[in-house]
Amino acid sequence: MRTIQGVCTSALIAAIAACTLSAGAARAATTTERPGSILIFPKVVTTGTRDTIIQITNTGNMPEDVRCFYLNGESCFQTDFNIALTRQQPTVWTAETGRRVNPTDSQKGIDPGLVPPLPTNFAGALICVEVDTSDRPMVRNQLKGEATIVDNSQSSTGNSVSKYNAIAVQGVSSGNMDNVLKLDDAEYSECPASLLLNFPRDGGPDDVIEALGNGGLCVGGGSANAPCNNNADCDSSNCSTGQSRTLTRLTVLPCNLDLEGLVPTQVVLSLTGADEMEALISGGRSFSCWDSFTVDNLIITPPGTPFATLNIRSTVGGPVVGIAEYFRSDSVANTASAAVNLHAQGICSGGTNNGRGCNRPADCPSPGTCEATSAATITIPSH
Amino acid sequence: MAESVCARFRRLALVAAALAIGAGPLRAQTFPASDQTAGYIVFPKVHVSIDGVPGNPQIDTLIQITNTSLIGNRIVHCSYTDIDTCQEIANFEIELTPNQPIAWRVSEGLSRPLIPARGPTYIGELKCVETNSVVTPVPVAANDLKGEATIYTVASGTAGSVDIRSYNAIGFQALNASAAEPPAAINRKCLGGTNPGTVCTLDSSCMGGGVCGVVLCLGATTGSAECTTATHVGCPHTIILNNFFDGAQSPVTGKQITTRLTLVSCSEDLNGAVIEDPVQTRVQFLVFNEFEQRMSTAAIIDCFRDVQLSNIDSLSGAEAASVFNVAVQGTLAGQVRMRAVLGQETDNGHGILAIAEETHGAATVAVNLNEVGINSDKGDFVRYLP
Repeated sequence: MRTIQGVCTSALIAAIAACTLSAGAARAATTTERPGSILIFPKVVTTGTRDTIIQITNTGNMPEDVRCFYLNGESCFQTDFNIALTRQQPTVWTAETGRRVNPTDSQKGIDPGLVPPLPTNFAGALICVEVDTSDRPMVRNQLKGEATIVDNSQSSTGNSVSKYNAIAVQGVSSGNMDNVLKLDDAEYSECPASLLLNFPRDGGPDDVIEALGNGGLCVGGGSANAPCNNNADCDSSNCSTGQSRTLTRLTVLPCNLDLEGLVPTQVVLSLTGADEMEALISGGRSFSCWDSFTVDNLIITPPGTPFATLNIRSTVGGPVVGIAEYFRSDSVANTASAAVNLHAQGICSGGTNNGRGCNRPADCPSPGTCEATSAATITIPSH
Repeated sequence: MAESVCARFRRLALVAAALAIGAGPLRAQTFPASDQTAGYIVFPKVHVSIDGVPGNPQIDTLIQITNTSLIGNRIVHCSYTDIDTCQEIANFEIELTPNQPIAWRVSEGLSRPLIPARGPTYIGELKCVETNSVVTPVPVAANDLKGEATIYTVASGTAGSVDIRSYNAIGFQALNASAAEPPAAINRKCLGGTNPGTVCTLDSSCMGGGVCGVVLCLGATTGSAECTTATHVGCPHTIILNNFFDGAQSPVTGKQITTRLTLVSCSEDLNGAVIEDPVQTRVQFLVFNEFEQRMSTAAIIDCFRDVQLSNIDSLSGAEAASVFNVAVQGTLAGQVRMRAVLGQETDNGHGILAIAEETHGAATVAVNLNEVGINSDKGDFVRYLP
């Protein structure tokens, strides 16, 4: 037994030494910047006018098996499928049509596997997990992904394309390779404790469009209702400006997911922030399984200035991940969109700033701790 | 049984080591990130092009920065860069109260606080660092900044249009973040002269023509006088872009897709205190298509290059011959891995950063790129005179 203890102690010392010596190397994290072992695409939509293009790349030099799950945000049901990527291989498919295994079709490249199409009016998420050839979760941290949400309405005013990076949960160790993926910093990285969003006040107007584009409509005269930027654009009439619009849509997904039991995670969000004059804004939102909502006056107290910042944290249901989409339109409804990944922030636990965002321990005085991340569990169906 | 006990010890050791490493700065990053607050943030592309002609596309950039600290004011020192000289063309300070956001149009600037306008035409970078003073802005060891840029292309009139694309500023976390409030300053150092790297507060401390300035050490550089120790995380070793090859048709709309890449150097001497002339960096590109086929090319950048992918290796008009073009690659999607050749200097680095803009017909998106690895022992230098 002493021999075993000696061996184990040596292993312990060596492991600690190795870890401290390698402190300059990247630590495992949940990130949108680095390849990971689990990819989370919080927003996948196939409405009648929008579709989502999924890109996934194996950034490593080992072939990669991946198990993916579409999560329907309304029913919380999942559809899963497998793809296989050779080393450094990128692949792409659209959510509405999926991808077949057919070397002779118009989609050139090594087909990664049969990707099922999604029905119209799907709104939800996509989660992909590195697995071995037996479909057991394993950690290689080789996956990166992006989602491009495209307006396919072919309308004259629709010009909306948004793109965001998949959130990559890096693995720490393959653990016991069971179907319960522990995001606990021992098996996989934890999720951020809270998220940050900078956004324009809902409803607009948008300063740039007002200054440079069609911020208004001509009133009366020979060019009544024509789009305009200033009076000179109108024939014998005035340009009624201030008619551009801004809108921010937030999509969130809980990190705690039960894709086997299909039990929706109940989440309560606390939204707190400030506008440019430091006036506090706050609000909340409850949802089950997945949610996408406009950050408007029904959700939060209206900012008093054109821009504001918001901290988004879950008080029930565990941490969440998410993305934001900004929409801008001019006076004649020419619309464009852009997606952004959200910033991560810690949350004070205890002390005078309990529950508020923090970047370091000093932000949580007397006495609190700044929790950067929060643990979660993703349970996938076992085979 | 012995193996499983040892395995358990190893796991506990890993967790313990990870916790020990993380006990100092909060979740300290070891790589730049666009989804974490930081002490030094970079907006690789800021673009203004306004001619005021109705119907013509007008381009402007909206910058948003937030002080995410809830307990203290923060002063942000920012510089717009000149892509020809690779030095700053304008700088300014903004004081932000706790949790205060601020936003401005680059073409207009602001009057309070005073932010200079950059217009009617400008293209370059914006770099901002968290500092301790409006008068003499010295960086602090803190990580409270987040930023976003939204580039607009709008046109007025009956043929009016709106197009926007947004990206997050790339953040470099200050290492050993200060526990004090306000955060402790990072020492100024002699730049140039005969005693570079000496801690200083006045120019008189710097011999042989050196000046007392600021150097952000993005990673440590072995043999460097100024940056044997890093002040901030280092630049990535490899940057990865998942792209659609130029000329490919969108699988949704059938519209043609092209991608524009903006590459900037991590190192910059904003006032020419040490490095007066632009330094060239060779960037190597490795391109994979969906058949796992691999091609490569290279390019040289000074400090800023904004280019359509297919024009990296082909002249305008000959894009169909580019390794970034669907006509050559034959598949819709690709992976582009970019790596800078680091060089041997100990007073300058060759790290690179990038963002990409992808155009689908008339609609454009912007995206932050992925990173892999760090440049051990070969950091980057950002210098300015406060």
